[in-house]
Amino acid sequence: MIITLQHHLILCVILFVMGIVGVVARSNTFVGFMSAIVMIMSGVVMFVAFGRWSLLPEGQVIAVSVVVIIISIVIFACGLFVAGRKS
Amino acid sequence: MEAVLFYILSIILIASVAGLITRRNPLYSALWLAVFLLGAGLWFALLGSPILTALLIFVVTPIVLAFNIVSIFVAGGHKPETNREIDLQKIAGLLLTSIVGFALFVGILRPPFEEGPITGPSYRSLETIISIFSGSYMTLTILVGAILIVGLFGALTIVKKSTEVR
Repeated sequence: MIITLQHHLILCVILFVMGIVGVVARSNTFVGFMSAIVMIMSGVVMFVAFGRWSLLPEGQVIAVSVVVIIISIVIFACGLFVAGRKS
Repeated sequence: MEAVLFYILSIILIASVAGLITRRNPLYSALWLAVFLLGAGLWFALLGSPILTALLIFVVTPIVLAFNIVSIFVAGGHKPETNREIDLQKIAGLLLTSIVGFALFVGILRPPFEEGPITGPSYRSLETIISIFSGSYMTLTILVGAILIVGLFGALTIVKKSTEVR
């Protein structure tokens, strides 16, 4: 069986919806934050999948940029949690 | 082979996100998030993007895991578990790590995809990506840099203010 772009997109959508469920259904801030990371990552994979199937490197370029932003968001949010707790 | 890897990966990813959103203890949610990120790294390998695989597995996963666990501990969001639950989590963690390690090994050994453009550099080589960053996507690169600098100053300000309060 050949894996096509649709397979990857379906998996992306499933993970994105599960991330939305995590953000909406859970009241815990940490779990909501981690579910948001899942949502962003599934979007990033979508870019790479489109780039792979159209043989363009732009998908990876955008993915690298978004991954770098994710790292900064994580560090910033964790600092925010800790600072909020301490004050 | 690719189809088998894709379906194994799908099961790992869906199971990890399910574990993330159903765990009561946010500490275990963070561990499930690490499994998800490792799986996403393998997914990038399956899509023919080794740079993103390396970035996600060796940089993003440790950073996200370390910062999440530290902030959960400092903020006091974790709850103590029973010994039986801890043993079950250890077995599940070892099993998942073995699967991810095996998949990574297979991903490294498998033959590469057919190249896209017949002439010129490959669409997934580091050379091509860097030339795009410094060429047509210069604005995006500057924007990402600006966001990182703003985040850095924001984090420093918050830390400074919280230190002053104490």
